[in-house]
Amino acid sequence: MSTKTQDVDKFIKDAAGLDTKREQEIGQHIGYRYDVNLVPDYSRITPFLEQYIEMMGWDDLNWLEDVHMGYEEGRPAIFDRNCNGWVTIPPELKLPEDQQGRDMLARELLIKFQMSKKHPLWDLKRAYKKF
Amino acid sequence: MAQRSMQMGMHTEKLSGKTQQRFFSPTEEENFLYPDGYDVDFNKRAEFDAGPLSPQEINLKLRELMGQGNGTIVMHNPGAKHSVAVGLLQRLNLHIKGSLGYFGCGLIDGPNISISGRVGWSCAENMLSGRVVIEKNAGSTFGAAIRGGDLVCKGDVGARVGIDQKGGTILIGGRAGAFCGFMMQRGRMIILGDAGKNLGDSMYDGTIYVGGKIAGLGVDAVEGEMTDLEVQWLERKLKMYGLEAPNGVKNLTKIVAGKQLWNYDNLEPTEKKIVL
Amino acid sequence: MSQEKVAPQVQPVKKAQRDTSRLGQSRIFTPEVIDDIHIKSELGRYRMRGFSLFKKIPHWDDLTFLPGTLTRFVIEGYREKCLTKTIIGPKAKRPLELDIPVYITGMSFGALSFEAKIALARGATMAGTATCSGEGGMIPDERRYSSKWFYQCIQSRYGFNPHHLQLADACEFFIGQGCKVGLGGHLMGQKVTDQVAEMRSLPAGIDQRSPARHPDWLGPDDLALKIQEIREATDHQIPIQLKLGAARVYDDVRMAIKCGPDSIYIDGMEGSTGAGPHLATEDTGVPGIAAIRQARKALDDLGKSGEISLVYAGGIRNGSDVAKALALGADAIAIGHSALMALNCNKDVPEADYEKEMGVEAGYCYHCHTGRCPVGVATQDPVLRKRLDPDAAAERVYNFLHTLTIEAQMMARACGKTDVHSLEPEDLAALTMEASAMAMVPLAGTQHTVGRPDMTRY
Repeated sequence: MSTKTQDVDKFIKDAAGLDTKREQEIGQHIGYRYDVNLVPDYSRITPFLEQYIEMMGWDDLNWLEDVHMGYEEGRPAIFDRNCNGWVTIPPELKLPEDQQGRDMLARELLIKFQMSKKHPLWDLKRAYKKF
Repeated sequence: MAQRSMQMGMHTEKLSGKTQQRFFSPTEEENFLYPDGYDVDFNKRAEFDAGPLSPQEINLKLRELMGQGNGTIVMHNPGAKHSVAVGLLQRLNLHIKGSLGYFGCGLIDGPNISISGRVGWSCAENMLSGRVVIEKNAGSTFGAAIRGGDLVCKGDVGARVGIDQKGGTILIGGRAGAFCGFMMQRGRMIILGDAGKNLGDSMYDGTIYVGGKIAGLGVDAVEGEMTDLEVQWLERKLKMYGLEAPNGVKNLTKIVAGKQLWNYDNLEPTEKKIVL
Repeated sequence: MSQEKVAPQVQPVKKAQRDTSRLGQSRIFTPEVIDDIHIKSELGRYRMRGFSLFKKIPHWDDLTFLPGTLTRFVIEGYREKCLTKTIIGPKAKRPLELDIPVYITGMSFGALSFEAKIALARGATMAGTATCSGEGGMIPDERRYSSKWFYQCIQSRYGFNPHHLQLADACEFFIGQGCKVGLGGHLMGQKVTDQVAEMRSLPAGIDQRSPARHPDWLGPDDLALKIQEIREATDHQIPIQLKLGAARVYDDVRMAIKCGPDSIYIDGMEGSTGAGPHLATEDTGVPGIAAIRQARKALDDLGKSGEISLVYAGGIRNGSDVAKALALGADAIAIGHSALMALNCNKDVPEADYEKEMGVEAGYCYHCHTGRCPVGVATQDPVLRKRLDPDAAAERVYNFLHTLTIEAQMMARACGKTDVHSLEPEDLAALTMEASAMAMVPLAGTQHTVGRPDMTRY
């Protein structure tokens, strides 16, 4: 599966990503569309993320080390575990050239989205949280 | 409760055409706080004695102190009670002076927790983010199903560490028991001492690094090759917690999934997709 | 050019030639069994499928009501009140109050489509009852449209999120399911899309077999502490329910009671699945008519009836089944597969071509595991999903839940009850010896309860 992640734009160019016989038989790409085991390159950390880390009282990216930019139906997107869906990156946003850069962008966007009152969890907590 | 959701129109919206697709807004605000979290200040500090309190009273006390804006809380005499410091979903510095029972620091998202003593089974289970650092030993199923954050035990741990691990980093300073990383899905586990038998059994993905001897690998766990980036990352992570690999980071054994269990069913004709 | 109308020719029915030399056919090695052996000999593995068990077991049809005549006073069927309000977890700080005794059980997003999940949520809300997240985590819109909602804490902990737990009106620990007791969940690669996979922190397209055991507790002693942890995380507000597959029900329920839940859910072997080994669906668990009686006895023996609720699910098709389950001792009923049928499961809708797309006629489809559900219910395929209009489907779910309720009320009134929860075993008789023995009610027309001389009056 690792060969699939070498071309960083593979899943933008080929939304379905059905290469193997089995993938074609089940109509579903198998595996990740990014390198799930890629650890962050801290030389690429952004000022915004440094500010976030300081605010949280951590010394590194902590849970954001597991956040990567992925691709849904040919669109770059980031998975948000708090709304359990892929959140699409606006097409006008220019993507960095490599996965490490894209991952850092993904981390920034995800934090802003999760902390925003536009996040679906905000309405749900107002409606259903009990304490 | 249903009343409020009703007032918000949740039960009359049209369903047809609903989609799950969401977009990031480029004008999103910078908030650094979960919308319903307590606004705490790390420089505001409170201490309390948990000795006479029940677990429920301890957890209520923590919420009360956070509600008063305390960002640093010191808890004395937790008395190895179960389910202490559970469900903390925000930034907080919590120092626990003593040991915890079962399910300590479970279901948390964000806090920095230090524990000067030991912890019982299932410490920090299902943790989403934050840091939990234990100075002494930990029981079994340490970090079960964690999804993110750093979980550190400087001593030895029991069996089934990081079972169903879904993300984050589990760092063990000493030895670990059998079946660590069983059905591990993602994330990283670092065991600086020896690891028990069936390490990484049936793991889907993720990485396990071991400094000592491995009593035996589980089904579909195989050795992998270390990259320079991983070496840098490991050195940085160990330094953060004042730990060292016994023979240096480069000599850690890396275990990954063989991925032979991903699809072991051959398909019946009826199970194959017909292109629509 | 007018064409002369000609009546279609009636095809003469060919009379089958009877082979008079044939001795008979095996009832053990039936043609289906022989075909199954042939296929497994090629495949080299067990066969997966959806739906519930295929074989005949003692079930609801083997019981009948004994309504009021002269010995019992009946309630006017269409005018007098017959209450249906149902409480799950009466001892909890916030018990779950349902308007009707039936709710929608946990079925995962992944096994079901987004449209199916939100239609169930809305339909249940319209009927004043609850839904459940199922495995794989919460989708925000399901919670949004469900006025009452269970969050499931399942063995795999796929997508388990404490933020979502805080939104729940009740938390259900999934310990087993009736259809495949002792096994974890299954979701074949065909349905593990990028979204479903990420929700579960797994690679897309893999055959997903969930763990059968919880990661952080092993036995009832640990479970009691785990329940305590969830209570702490939810401020001791919501009921905690334990869902057990029906096996050694009396002992299991006694141990479950010891763990201190607010509700116990028993899933009979009639229960369905979206994917499971065919053999597990056939050959694990015990029928509901036996399980409910055993569970209620365990609650009675430990003095917990009225404190801990008993929910039953498995093979519930109509209001009569609901009423029979309540009479045997259940406090509430959960439905899964019949709610999917209300959505359109196995219905020959114009958009679907069952024979071409699925290779079976509508009414015979059990292929939920393939992800090719022709009616857009048990699929993630965007083309198929369009076949399910969630607003219309929600109406059907509501209508079905309403029908189940009024049918159950009809039976209760006929038996002289002004509350469906007042139905009791005494209102039932068994039509077979097996049903009498399992449900512990007398054989119809007799005073004899099989296997229970103490309950037999001569």
